[in-house]
Amino acid sequence: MRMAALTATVLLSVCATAEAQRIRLDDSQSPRESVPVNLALPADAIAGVLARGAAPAEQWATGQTPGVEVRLDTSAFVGQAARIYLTIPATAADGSDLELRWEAQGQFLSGTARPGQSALVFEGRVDQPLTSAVFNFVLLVGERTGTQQNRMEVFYELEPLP
Amino acid sequence: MRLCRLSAIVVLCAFATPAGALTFTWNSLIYWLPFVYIEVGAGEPVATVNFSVPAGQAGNGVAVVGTPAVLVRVIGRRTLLGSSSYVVTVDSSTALRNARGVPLPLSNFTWTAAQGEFAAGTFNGTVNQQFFRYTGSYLGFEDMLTFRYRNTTVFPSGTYTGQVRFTIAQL
Repeated sequence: MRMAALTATVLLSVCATAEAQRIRLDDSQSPRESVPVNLALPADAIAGVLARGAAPAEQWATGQTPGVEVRLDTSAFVGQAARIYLTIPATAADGSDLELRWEAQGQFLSGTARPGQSALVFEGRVDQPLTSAVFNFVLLVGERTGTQQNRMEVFYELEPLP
Repeated sequence: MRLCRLSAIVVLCAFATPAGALTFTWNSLIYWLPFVYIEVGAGEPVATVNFSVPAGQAGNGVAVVGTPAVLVRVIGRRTLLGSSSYVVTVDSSTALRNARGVPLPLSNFTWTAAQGEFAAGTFNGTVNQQFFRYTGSYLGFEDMLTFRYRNTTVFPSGTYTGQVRFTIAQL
């Protein structure tokens, strides 16, 4: 019985810590849940790997998806200073040749992230219960990952600032 | 009893995460399809090479070097593992002509590659002269081609223009 009580305490502690650092934001009010990316092997990318002996795995296909609007439920944080991160969960496959780049407008920041990484996209005061951002995404998919998976999720996390 | 409470709390933690994520999807087929690629001239729709034969030197056998040199890139892939097998041909069947329609056969022109990636040769005036053929694990090659006018025949004076066309095909 004592062992059971100890286990419960540890688990609760882990949960509480994670909640305090970053809170995943609900983006279900965004116009799009899915972004089909039309990958291509552009001439520039091909030329970039043309060096004699370049391994096929070094080939990157790219796809652009401009004007993707994201609406984040920040109603619980209006008036607070916060950071918002774009997070790409680690994938089952080796995602080292998978990369998302974006340009953002307004207060949001441009950046780059790969699976298992987070990137800061906003830092400031949350003014609205629904925070919107428009991203111009560019997805780069290496052959190694591109042949093992055909989807990648992105979500947003908020870190309240003191 | 404590175990029961623990189970309930853990489940609540798991469902506390909001639903929703932006999902990028793509078609992996692009990686499985064979492709070939050729580029002649760096970004130009048609690369232009000029030859100027000085007065009094026409037909004297001293080759005239054309400018500029032209970048040629060829790439091909047959399988996912990168095996390549392709052939590049050149169509030099249409002679250059001057304003009066006088022909100057393309067999009067030769090429060399700066790095030796492509064998030197002479246009033979046919529609599908083999320029380059490759089978192996490398994907592609590039080199700078320098063209020369052989200058072994005297043609009527004038400006002659014409085109050669390079084509790559998967084998």
